[in-house]
Amino acid sequence: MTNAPMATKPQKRAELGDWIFTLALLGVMIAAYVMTFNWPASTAFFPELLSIAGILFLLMKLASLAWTTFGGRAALGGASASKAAHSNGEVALAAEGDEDQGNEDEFHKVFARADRRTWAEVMGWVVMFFGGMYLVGLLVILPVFIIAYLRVVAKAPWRVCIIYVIGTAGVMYAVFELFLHLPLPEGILFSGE
Amino acid sequence: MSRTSIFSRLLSASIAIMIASSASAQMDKTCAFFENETVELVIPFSAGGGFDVYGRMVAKYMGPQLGAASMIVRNQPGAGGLLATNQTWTEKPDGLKLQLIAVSGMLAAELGDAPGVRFKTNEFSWVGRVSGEPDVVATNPGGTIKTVDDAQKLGAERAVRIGSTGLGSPQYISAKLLETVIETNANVITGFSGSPEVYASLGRGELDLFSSSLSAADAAEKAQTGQTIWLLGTEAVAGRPEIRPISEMVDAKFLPLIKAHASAVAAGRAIAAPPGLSEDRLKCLRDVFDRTISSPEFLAESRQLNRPVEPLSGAAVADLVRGASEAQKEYLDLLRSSFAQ
Amino acid sequence: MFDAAMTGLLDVLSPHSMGLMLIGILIGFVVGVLPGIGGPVAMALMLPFTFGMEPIHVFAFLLGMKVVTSTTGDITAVLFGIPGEATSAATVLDGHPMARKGQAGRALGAVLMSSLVGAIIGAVVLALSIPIIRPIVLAFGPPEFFMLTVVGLIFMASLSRGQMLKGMIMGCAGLLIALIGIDPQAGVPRYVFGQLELWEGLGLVPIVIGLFGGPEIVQLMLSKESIAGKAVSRNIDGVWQGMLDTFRHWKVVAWAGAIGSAIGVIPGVGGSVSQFIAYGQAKQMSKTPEEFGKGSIEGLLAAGGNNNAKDGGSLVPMIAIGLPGSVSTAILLNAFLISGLNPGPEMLTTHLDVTFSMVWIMIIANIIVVILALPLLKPLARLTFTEGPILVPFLLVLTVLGAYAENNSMFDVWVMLGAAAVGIVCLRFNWPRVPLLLGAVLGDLCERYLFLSTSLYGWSWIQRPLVILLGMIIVAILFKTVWDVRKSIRRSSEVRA
Repeated sequence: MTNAPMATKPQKRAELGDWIFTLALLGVMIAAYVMTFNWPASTAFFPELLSIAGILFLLMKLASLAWTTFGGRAALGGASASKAAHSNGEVALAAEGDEDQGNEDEFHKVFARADRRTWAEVMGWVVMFFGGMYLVGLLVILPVFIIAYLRVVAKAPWRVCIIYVIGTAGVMYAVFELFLHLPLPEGILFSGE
Repeated sequence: MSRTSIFSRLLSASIAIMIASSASAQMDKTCAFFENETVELVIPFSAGGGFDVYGRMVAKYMGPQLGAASMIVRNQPGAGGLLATNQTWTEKPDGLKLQLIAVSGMLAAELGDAPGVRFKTNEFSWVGRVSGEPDVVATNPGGTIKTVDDAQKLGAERAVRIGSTGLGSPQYISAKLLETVIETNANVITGFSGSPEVYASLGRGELDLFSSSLSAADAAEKAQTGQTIWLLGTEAVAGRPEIRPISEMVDAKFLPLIKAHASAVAAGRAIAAPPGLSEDRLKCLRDVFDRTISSPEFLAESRQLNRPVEPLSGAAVADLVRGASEAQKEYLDLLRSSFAQ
Repeated sequence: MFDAAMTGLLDVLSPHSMGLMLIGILIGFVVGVLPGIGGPVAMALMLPFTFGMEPIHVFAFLLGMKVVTSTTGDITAVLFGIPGEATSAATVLDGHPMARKGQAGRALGAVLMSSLVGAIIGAVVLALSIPIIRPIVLAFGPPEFFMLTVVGLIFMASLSRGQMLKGMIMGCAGLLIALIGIDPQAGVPRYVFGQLELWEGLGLVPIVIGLFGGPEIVQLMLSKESIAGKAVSRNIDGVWQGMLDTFRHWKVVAWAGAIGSAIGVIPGVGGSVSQFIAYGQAKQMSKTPEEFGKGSIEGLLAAGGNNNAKDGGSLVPMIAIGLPGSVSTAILLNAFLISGLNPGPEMLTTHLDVTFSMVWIMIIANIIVVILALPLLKPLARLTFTEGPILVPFLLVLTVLGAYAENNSMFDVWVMLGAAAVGIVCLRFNWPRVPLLLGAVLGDLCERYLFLSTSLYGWSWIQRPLVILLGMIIVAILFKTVWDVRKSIRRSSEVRA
């Protein structure tokens, strides 16, 4: 990160994200539309309708993105306010989008501010947990993950780790396996006997 | 009805299981294998439904009879039962993994060349049938249709509307059969979410006919959303003479078709092990199943829970399935038209 | 009828029924913390224990459990932002932001009290509708169901947090997601890519858990702060204040309860659509709609008031004609049959006392839940001040189990993970999640009932009186939405000028 002015950098980044997200969704919608070609008419009707609507909305979004990125931002104020309903929405977006405060926005900030390293760490933990669950099953990975995560990230004392493991994995084992005979996610390595 | 609390119920149940398991431990030499093993009974539908109740009833009494340490129920819903059945097909045939199968549905899917079928119903190791109820046909309460002639008269005025869930469902197959045999201007209306929803629609008078299982029809009759008129088969149900077999009212050329359908439906809900189970273990499972399902405790519970059982031996189920697998062309065509290819 | 109501009350108050109700409530409390596993799964698992009980005892046990799981679902929704069920996700929208502002106590108090009030409204509606229950239920057919899903869908705009175009796009995506699976008319698999697991569609439980729980967990992992980390006030004593809020904003709660119970009555779509309508309606009625989604007490009260009211309403079609409207009522229906009762006219004549006992159970169980939960609220609220990393493994387990337990399927865990990724991307780039959920909840219903309407009635269904009425409501809401948007544009351009 350079020490570029805070005001413009996240803004540009958000725009880039919007571009990527919009284009990706457009790809999905087009694929969804193309897939309807082989279906009988009644089966295809709704997916067709929705994917076309989605594509139209996305094209509008692209147009507005292009407008904000390349065109004059200031001109947006009241220019198209009296047009159709969709352009109303778009103006509302430009008007309110940036100033939104609240829960989602707070999340947004946490996600936006975290640097690559922090993201990589978090993804590492997530992959460890879910990958481990896939390979060796929930009841095996859970104690390992809890102890590792609590020791490394939360810097919790061993006592807490042990209570934590018993309180989660132990209780789950007792309730699911012993009492209710319910399956828990099993790993592919230990499935079978 | 008993007024025991849940605690004493749990307690007495566990005592009963203990006693039963110690008693059955020395019963069968052929079953020595199952001693202290855990047997799993897969239910191909969600917990809490009608199918599930049957499975749990069987597991509760069959486990102790087998001498197994426990017989646990595992719900594996998905793709109308295909998901679980496909998986059971590939399991190790050691007798420790069993499944309660909706036989007619799986048979129809296999014979109708439905996508996603990876098993041969005929080759499962059939342990025995728990219940099998015939399909019946209902009309709206206070409706005018009493005979096939009535339906044809209505068909002369406008299309007779037959309700159904989606294509490929058991109700669709029987709706198609019904449409075929009444030989009139009829229309199968698909898209309902399940029998209760079709019956609600029938109760509103939006539909004319619907074919469902007998128990669903009985429930609808009590809820006054339907009125059972015909049996979609050739022989009347014992004790229910008022439900006339449709075979008496339609052209004789349809008899084989109706018969084929009725016998596929008769295979009902049956327990099976993966194919290739050894003779002695299959024999043990069949014996224990027959003993379980005719035991007074089991029958008492089935009565108490209003879940009637119609037991049939594993060998007989295997015969039924084999017979249906060799179904004649007309029925196969009907099935194929019932699945999106 | 009065006699039956009294007999029903006495039956419920018998020590035996009360004991079973308490056991049901306690089990529900423990199991209900797991999102998704909550109501339906707990009831399904406990159903075998009711074998052989008397009907009233069965319902005391199962309904007590259902009531408490919807309350515990609200608790996880407020504290961790993970709703208990897709049909009560609206609680998250304002409850969780309040917790993040350090007002978890107040939010919990408010949601608990408004649920109780809602439940009582629902129970009263159930009781009052008994004489006219069947004609009402039978008046609604597929055309009305379809129109109702449309009413729900048009709230998409007002749930998009001022980003209408983005909201419409996400809504379309959600509706498309709902279409995954075997198509209900022609049996053709859509967007399944050869996966049998997708035939019955993507599960709503994994989607809702992933969409809301995923970002929450990752956020905690990234920031390493407590849930209320940024909060200025550290007031966990707000429980009483929250309870009082319920009465201060009694109109909001009453409206939400009325909407919940009235729409919950409509089989098939009621349960799914009512939260969106109640929440959207509260937003449109509010003097401060811009607060909605950012920790508005009105929004939370509307969601809470609607939740348990719709559960009461959803019992109506099950009792009247044996048509369950949700997974948990389907299990209750099975419990009916097992205990030898037949839904239908019988429940309104010979077994009227049982029907009334269900009304009483809904009320009494809710009161007990509030009394039991009260002392727990403060310690629970304190969780929002616990260091984030300590909560992470616990929340991970909750989400995995919640996604897994409904179908015992690993596939659902991956669906949850995918939904979590979508949720994170949405928040990172400021795209609204709620329209996506709304589409996913209503999409298949919308399609199914439109096709059923046309195959049953041709296009003449448009002339049905209730359809016309619903159509007028739709136009009115659309008009109001456009009006509000124009007003807010004018206001913001005035501010800029």
